[in-house]
Amino acid sequence: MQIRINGEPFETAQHILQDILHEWGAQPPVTIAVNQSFVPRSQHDHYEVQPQDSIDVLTPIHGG
Amino acid sequence: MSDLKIYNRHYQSRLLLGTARYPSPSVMQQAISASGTQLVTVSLRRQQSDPDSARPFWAFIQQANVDVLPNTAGCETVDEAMTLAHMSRELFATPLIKLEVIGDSQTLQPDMSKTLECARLLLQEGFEVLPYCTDDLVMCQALVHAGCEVIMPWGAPIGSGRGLTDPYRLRTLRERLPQVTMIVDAGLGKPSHITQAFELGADAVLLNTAVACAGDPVMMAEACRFAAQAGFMGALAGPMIEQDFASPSTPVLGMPFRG
Repeated sequence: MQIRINGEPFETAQHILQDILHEWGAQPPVTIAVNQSFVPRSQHDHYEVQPQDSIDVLTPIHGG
Repeated sequence: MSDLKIYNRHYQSRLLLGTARYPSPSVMQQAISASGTQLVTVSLRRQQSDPDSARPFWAFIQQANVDVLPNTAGCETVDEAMTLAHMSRELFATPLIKLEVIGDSQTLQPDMSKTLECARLLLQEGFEVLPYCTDDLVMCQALVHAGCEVIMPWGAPIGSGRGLTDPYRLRTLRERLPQVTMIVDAGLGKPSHITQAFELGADAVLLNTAVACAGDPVMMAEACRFAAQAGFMGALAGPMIEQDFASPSTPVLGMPFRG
């Protein structure tokens, strides 16, 4: 299915969020939102991603 | 001297430091140490194609032995800020959140109505909210009434280094909201701005660009540390009352050569 990760198109045969993150190459520590909604880490191993979903993979960065 | 109180946390340092815009992570780490800060701001952004690029930053912060204050910088809607706050709480494992909901892209002035709405929601969820706000008295009163124990009024637009553009309004905030912890955030450019903020009643200051973009960030961090100490102690000591005419320090009585 076709989804978007961090604003870029991504093609995957996986459906579970954790599997998709692994396939994409997410490097911990990360925190995840799907379609602009936060998905807690405890849900990653059973959250089902839908076609056209948009995933944000965020990581710590400097800030003011 | 009393500690700085941020909700149920107590800090000896009255200087909060941002972690952005340093020449390198190493300089940032040295500046954090030199500043004496115990609380630094951090943020979240999309993981880049080279995830190793962000690792030194986070590793340095973890080694710095300081608390972190995640921000919602760049958010323009309540929904964006709420989502980023939730994500920050999970990743940084803290209920602290520096709430920023920007209303104007040029001045980065916060949208106070959205900030208030978001603050109410976050407080209900147990967040400890530090709202970045203007110096508008009525809106700051509303934030305090909503449950904010800290407010962070701007001194001037973020990163401008202009100093305190309206001292009267900051002094008024202090007088009208004596119980809230007031941290002057944004626009401070040099140590004299810090001492002035404390003289107007600030409990603490938050700096970033003033240190990170100084010619020598580490030396400036130490200078700002001293300025925060001097400013707070000077305000606590009670400055003399300003007067219009000279008053001789040395006794006039006994002056020789006359009469």
